[in-house]
Amino acid sequence: MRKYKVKTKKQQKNLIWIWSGLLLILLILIVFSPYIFPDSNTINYELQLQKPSFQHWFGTDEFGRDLFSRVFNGMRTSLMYSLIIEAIALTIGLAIGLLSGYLGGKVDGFFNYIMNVFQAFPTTIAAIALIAVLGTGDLTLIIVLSVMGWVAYARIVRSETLIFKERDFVLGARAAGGSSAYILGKHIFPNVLLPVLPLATLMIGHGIMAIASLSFLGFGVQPPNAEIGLMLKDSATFISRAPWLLVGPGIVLAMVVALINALGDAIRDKMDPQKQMMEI
Amino acid sequence: MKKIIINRVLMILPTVITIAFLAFSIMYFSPGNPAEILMRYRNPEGGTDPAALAHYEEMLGINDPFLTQFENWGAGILTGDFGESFKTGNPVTEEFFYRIGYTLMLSFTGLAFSLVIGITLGFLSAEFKDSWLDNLLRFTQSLKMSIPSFWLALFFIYIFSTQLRWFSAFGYNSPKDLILPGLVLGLSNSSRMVRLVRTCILEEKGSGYVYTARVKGLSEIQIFFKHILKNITLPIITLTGVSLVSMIGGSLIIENIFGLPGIGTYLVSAIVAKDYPVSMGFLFAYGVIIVFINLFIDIVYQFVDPRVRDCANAEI
Amino acid sequence: MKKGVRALALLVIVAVLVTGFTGCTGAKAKDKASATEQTLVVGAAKDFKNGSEPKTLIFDSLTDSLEDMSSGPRLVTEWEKNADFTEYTLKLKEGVTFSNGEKFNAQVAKFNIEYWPVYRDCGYIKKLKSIEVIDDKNLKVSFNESYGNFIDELSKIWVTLPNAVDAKGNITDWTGTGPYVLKDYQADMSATLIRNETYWRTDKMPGITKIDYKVITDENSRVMAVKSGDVDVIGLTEHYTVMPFADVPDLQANKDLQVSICEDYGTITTYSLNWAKGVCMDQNVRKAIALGIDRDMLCSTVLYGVAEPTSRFVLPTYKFSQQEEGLKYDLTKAKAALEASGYKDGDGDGYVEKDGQKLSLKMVVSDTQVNRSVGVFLQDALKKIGIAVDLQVFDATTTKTMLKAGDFDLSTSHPWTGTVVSYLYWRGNLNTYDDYGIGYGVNDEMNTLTETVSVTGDDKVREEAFNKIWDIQNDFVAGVPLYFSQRIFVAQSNIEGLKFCPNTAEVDLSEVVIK
Repeated sequence: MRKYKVKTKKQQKNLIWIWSGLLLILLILIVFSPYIFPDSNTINYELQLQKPSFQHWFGTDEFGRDLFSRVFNGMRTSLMYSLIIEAIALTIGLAIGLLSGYLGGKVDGFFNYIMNVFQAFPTTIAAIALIAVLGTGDLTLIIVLSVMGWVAYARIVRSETLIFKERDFVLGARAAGGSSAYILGKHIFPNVLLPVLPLATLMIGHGIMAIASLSFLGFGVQPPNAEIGLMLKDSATFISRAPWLLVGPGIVLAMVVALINALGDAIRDKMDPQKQMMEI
Repeated sequence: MKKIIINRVLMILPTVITIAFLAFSIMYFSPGNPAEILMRYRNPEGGTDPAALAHYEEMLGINDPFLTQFENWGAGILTGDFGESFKTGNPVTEEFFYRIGYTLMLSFTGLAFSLVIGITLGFLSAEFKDSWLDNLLRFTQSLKMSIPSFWLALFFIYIFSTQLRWFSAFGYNSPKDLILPGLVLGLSNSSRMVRLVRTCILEEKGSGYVYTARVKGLSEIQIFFKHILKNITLPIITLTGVSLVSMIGGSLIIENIFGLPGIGTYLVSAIVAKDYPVSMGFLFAYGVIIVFINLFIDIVYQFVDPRVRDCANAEI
Repeated sequence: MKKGVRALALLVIVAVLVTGFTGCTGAKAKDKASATEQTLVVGAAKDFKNGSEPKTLIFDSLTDSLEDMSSGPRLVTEWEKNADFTEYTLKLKEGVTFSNGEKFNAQVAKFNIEYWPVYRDCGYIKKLKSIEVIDDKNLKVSFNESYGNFIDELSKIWVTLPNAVDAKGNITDWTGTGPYVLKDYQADMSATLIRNETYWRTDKMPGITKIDYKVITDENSRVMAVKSGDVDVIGLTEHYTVMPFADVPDLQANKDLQVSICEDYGTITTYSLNWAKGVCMDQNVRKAIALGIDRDMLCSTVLYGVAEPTSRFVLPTYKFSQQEEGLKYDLTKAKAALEASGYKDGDGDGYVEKDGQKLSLKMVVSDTQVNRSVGVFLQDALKKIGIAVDLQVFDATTTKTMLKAGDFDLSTSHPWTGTVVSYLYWRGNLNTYDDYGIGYGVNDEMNTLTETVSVTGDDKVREEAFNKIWDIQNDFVAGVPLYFSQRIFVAQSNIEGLKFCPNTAEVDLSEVVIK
């Protein structure tokens, strides 16, 4: 029936390789930025607000610091925090999703209701309110975003658990007298982990953006550290004098998040052949 | 289906109560003595007189047990009394209704942009599937999803306000001032709309009735407007609801940059200024608004054709 | 199919709503008022009723601050004092009415002199014995002890109606005798003022008939608003610098705008050192900090050559200011000061330590672009003498809370203000924490000297006392003056006659015209 063609497996594989390759290069720059760009915090007033040039690809900021190296340093902070946040959120989400889906009944009802409550508060606003209670700081930032982040995981884990719960191998294991903990751990957990993977990838990008937004508003990472949101906040002052302060951080942030998202999509397509129509 | 809907409606009450409880406790556990803060606002230049402080503490009842205080606040809500702002002395409800207008105007402008962009580009993308246009559009969509809205906002201000001077950069003087912030919100939220419209159209196009219509000699555009559009309306409405939720939440940073006096900016400044009655009231209001939008989404979703639901799932 | 129809109807409704909104947004903005209309749009940092400046548009003070920091007549037209400054006779201006028609008379003046001093840091209230209303136009004020500063302090009393205030220093009814009348007010948003057509100072009758006061809290947005022409002027209603210095060169180059920088009056940005707690209790550490900062470099770099470097607390143009500069940049002396206290870099990490403890300062600043940049500069500067700085940036309210709790080593602070005598009453002789860090009341001698200054009406005596005060301050280093932060007006080029008032908190629009 369908007159349009489906992308071949090979093409898809290539796509994943391209995304992964690009992402890998960026990741290497980001992760090893303190060693690649050791003097990203060195102040040199003679180089104040320089336009992008061969020496300074993204230009320099008002302290004469090289923006290119600072952007990668900043991404390092964002990425690290985002990974921690998503790891915590994923753990909570997995636990609650598994329990909720597997046990069903009152437990499921209760967790559903908790999830509804959490979803009623926009992340940024709830995060700011919590930061007001806990005080500004990097640790608070991580805690707050993890606390707000688990719901998305829990929902998907729950619905996957509901599916796998009725599968033959689970029913079989139960009939064979396997304990709930054993079935959850041995049979369901490995199976729900896979569908969660694309979401987890996407959420890393989300985490980076959330950290940047909060820092931009003054509730996240504090000034001496390089961080994308913070750099963009400072760029607001220099928007007509030095617009490149806006450009560099924006490009790298967008590239990293876009690549992570593309990778997530590619993984999803690969794992779920039914949804091949819906690449990107 | 009925059962699911009834279930969701019944869940509203406990959810709202919990939201109230959370909004209250966040502020209750905030560091700092509300009485002292209120006193500071009432008398910025005076010292901290213990007698006066005791008077304020009594007035606010902050020495009562947690539950009593929560009950008092909750009872106030039931009668529409959210207390008065520490800072301005105005009733919280007055502040809220004054500001919610701006947030809604901004969100709906954003929605308008996201619908127009989403449906147009989604249609084009599906119509010219796998062409260079489709590829370009898909590439821009995924890039757009990766750009923070505040970056887009700053960039637009740079281009349209400081360079071209088409729009004012700050504040609300006329409805024209909603275009830039609305466009930013719309763009940041349109990616999902484009993807949804594209996938749904493709799904529909493969179905039998479109084939029949095509055989009857209807043009693609006629098919789209006569047949496809009405079938994908419900998923679009559902996603519109989802977008609305994320816009009401995300408008905060846009309001902040463009200086629109909406509830987001005001809530953040209230949280920072430790204006507890406003913070609690606004947090609660946010929660309730979003709970009802979510309820609306869930109900509409139930009516979505299961066949279409499949294509919408990825985005909603 | 029916379901589909319903859905289509829904979509149509949504579409109509949506197009309705876009239709609205497409509507043309009202044309800006024609050039001859004398409406001034002011972009302000603070809520109209919260700042100290806006009220000067609505109320009159009892006396005027003149350019040489002495007092001139205003609502009080003449005064006589006895030889030992214990009795003053005040003569009031006749025929002045409030904008609601009520008369300004000796009773009203008496109320204001008694009510306002506590809220305006006027020291005379502590010595006040009685105020006697002689007749409608004359008052006799008696003090328990000599009080020489009375007339100067009357310039801080902005006259309200007796029934227009509450018990806590808030004005409940904004009716004054001043050049403007408050017509409309939105908390944290805006205010509209129209000219008081019956203003009693006919020579000061302003040309501007209407003021639109718009609150723009974000500093970058304020600058943007004046650039785009949304507001006519910024910086007018604040007694401090309200824009990042980084913007000034750019604004100066803009042909549509005029930038006026006040060179004569203003305050010197001074950072507070927590001398009562923590590492800064050590005088040598405080000295090392003051010596270790290259202010010339600071001003030419992160302050874009706009602010002027200084190590004084008060501008030399002010009465009783210090004769000489304080501690200046000297790296060797700074390092020597640290060594004198036993601080040495033992482990070679670039930071000095004593008893195994790294010398690290907690620096708390409020969140503005200038503060953030100066913070990073200071961090870098102090690193050069081996002091680590933990920079913490907070919003204004949190900053105040932290400073009041004494939870800092180094922080942004409130500078010494122009009339140093009144500053003495406020923070100059304070030895506890307040919203701006810690005061300058570092020892008992400061108390004695404060007393001397307030009692005498003799400028010679005051000058001597102040010389001693400055010696104490220069030696003790309770704060580090960094730069003269000028007030800056940025206005559209068609606005003429803006001027800075000697009383920094006053807005004088009497000569302003929009061409």
